[in-house]
Amino acid sequence: MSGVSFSFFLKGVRPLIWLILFTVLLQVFFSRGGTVYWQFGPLSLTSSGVINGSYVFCRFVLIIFMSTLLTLTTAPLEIADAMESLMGPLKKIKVPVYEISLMLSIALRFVPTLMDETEKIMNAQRSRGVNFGEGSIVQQIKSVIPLLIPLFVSSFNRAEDLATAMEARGYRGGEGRTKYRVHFWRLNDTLACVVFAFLTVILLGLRNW
Amino acid sequence: MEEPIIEISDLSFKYPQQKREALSHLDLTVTSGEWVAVIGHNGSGKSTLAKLVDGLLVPETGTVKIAGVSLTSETLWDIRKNIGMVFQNPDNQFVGANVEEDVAFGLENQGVPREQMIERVRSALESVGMWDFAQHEPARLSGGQKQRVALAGVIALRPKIIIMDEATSMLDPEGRKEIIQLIKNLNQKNGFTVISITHDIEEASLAERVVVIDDGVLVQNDKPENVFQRGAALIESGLDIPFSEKLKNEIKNYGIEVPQEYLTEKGMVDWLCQFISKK
Amino acid sequence: MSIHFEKVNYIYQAGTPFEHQALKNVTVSIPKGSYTAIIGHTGSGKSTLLQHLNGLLKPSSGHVTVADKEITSTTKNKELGELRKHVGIVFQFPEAQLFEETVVKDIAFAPKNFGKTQEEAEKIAIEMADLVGLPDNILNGSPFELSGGQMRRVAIAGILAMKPDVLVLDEPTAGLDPKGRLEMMQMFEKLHQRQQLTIVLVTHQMDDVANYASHTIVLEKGEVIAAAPPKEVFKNPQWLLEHHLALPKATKFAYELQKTGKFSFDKMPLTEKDLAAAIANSLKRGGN
Ligand SMILES: Nc1ncnc2c1ncn2[C@@H]1O[C@H](COP(=O)(O)OP(=O)(O)OP(=O)(O)O)[C@@H](O)[C@H]1O
Ligand SMILES: Nc1ncnc2c1ncn2[C@@H]1O[C@H](COP(=O)(O)OP(=O)(O)OP(=O)(O)O)[C@@H](O)[C@H]1O
Ligand SMILES: [Mg+2]
Ligand SMILES: [Mg+2]
Repeated sequence: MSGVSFSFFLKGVRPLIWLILFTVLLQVFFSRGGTVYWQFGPLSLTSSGVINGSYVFCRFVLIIFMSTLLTLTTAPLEIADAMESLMGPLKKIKVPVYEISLMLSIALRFVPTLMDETEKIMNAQRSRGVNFGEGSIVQQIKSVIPLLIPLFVSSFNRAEDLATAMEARGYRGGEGRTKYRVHFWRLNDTLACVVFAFLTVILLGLRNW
Repeated sequence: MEEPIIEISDLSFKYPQQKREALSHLDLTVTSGEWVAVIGHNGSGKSTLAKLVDGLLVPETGTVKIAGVSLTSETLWDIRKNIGMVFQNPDNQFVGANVEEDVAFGLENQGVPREQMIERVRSALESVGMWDFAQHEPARLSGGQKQRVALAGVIALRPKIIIMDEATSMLDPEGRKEIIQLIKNLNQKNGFTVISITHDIEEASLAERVVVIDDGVLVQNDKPENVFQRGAALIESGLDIPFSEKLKNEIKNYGIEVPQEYLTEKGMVDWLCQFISKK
Repeated sequence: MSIHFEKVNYIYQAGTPFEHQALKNVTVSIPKGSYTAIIGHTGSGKSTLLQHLNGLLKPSSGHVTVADKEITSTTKNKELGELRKHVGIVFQFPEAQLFEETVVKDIAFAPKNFGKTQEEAEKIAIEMADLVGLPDNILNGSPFELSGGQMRRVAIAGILAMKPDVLVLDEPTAGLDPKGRLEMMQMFEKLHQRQQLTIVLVTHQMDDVANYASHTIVLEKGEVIAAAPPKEVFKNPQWLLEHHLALPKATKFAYELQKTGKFSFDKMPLTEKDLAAAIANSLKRGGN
């Protein structure tokens, strides 16, 4: 449906696997209540522990899946458009919905650029002998400065350039603008909604069980 | 079409942080359909001039008139509809999530109805050979492709004037040639007035007129061949020395008489052929 | 310090939908003491290749040998510190890496990281500032208040301060006017001559290749399609045309002259000097 392979999701989960396992085990062994299956000191294996544990596990995996899917398949501007239409009713009470969502979309659009920029500056400073993520805490904190200052300077310049370019292209706020993009609701979208509604019900059910 | 489209008189500007004026008492007139190259060394005030013409900066003294209308805060937005700017760094001028939406941005701002927009976006992208990339993310294009898209964004607006601020500086030689050719077509076929700010001698030689700015002052405003006549001194004006001038100087070292006047490369070939035939 | 690439492949974002192979089976050498120019279109993999020279990127497969150090996909970052001292990379728009309060401190940053004391490092910094032609009166000012060309010089001095054996330059003159470009190129030439620095230069300017390089590597879509001295590479205009590459101005002019049938050259000239000599020669002999 999304054209993103399953193994790719697994890759997204992998770096977080220890965090997930740790949290799940915590839930499983430290929860009280329900039938007690096994006990050792403060540790206990209870039915509610198992349910909480699986609940936490599902939640984690879902969050990771959803965020991977969203960032991979949806361009930032689309996310902003969605925000705008969700906030639509607020227009009536004079909230500058258009401006907020444009701001948001530009901020989102610059996320990949900012990441590229970070990578570039890190490489430049590595070539000057900085070891990011190595050495003592003090050294690590020190190594952040040669990264943050250039990043700040370049973001600032970029923002200024972009503002100039937008003005030169005639941008003066949401008034009187027309829209190029329209959205269509497809069968797949309906399917996705149904599936997620179903999942929500299951999770809620699991929780109140 | 001899009517003036840009009339600048006594234009001065100073950035608040700077001591020196970035532009000082500049006068310049550009006629409709003309191609003017603006040259000058780094920091001479070329980009500042471009921004003043587009009303992106407010002058200290002097006036700018576009198509007979004075640039003021009231006329600003109407005047901008006549001017399309392509900036030095294409990365910092993209707004859209994909190529076609970015090209549409300027049209959206002008409130062009959607049906027209679709058609204009498409034809602009086709004219720069980028329609196949309509769905691509601008950030993931190559330098040359980015500059084409930026240009398409301008073409779609159908402005009277195109200002290119070193728009080809990031390209490989072939990419640069293609963009320049594209602009030339727009200038000749569609009658766009073109102001090109450049350090590239080949780009400057295509212009009908070359304007030289030095530390904010207009020092020369003449046909390319007359400007290029200055030979080695051109390098101080932010332009390379024309190849034919370099070659003439080298040949002179062999005790061969060379003509005084400026020769294009073609002219140089002709002259050498004549010279050798006479022998 | 000689450098050798052996069957190097590099894949960006391997295993994702954006996977992109930027280097394909690259086998090429950069001789010690050479001035090597790397040319090719935008996106052909030039910057990717450069980042392998000091291990910022590691080959997805194959290996890179720099002096005695072999870099493969499994090489640890810890092992690369020494190498990075010997291979200085000046990235595109290097002024983006400046961050210290003063010019001297910024130039002294790398030597300090590589174990020099504050005083030693600042002494080197002052030397380097002089070498790249920065005036003394700006050394204790902020690097952010300089002109574009001066910022570029500060950044380059910051790399030279590591006293590298190999200086790697990614389009070092982009954005400068021709005068600034010429000064910068002459500065590199001086370093190459006087300090026997091996230079690796990425450029779009064929005239720079003709004027300065002893060796050329041509990349196309991640593959090396030629590796030879400039005069070999520019010998075949048909081949260059097929690969959308330009000729140096002097060489192009020489071909134009040859087309008239009145001139012929045995060896195609690469620079204005060579061209003028060849023309003078023909004129004295009196044509074909
Ligand atoms: N935003 C700014 N704030 C302060 N000073 C500026 C600003 N932009 C430019 N200047 C200064 O104004 C002068 C003219 O700058 P301008 O950008 O117009 O030069 P330019 O001819 O376009 O140069 P280049 O060839 O490098 O693009 C320079 O001295 C520059 O340092
Ligand atoms: N971080 C990255 N992720 C994915 N693909 C990348 C990344 N960096 C570069 N690429 C791709 O790898 C290819 C080679 O890029 P590279 O930057 O080496 O080209 P280049 O020859 O230096 O081009 P230019 O002349 O524009 O600097 C390009 O197609 C580019 O899109
Ligand atoms: Mg400028
Ligand atoms: Mg590159």
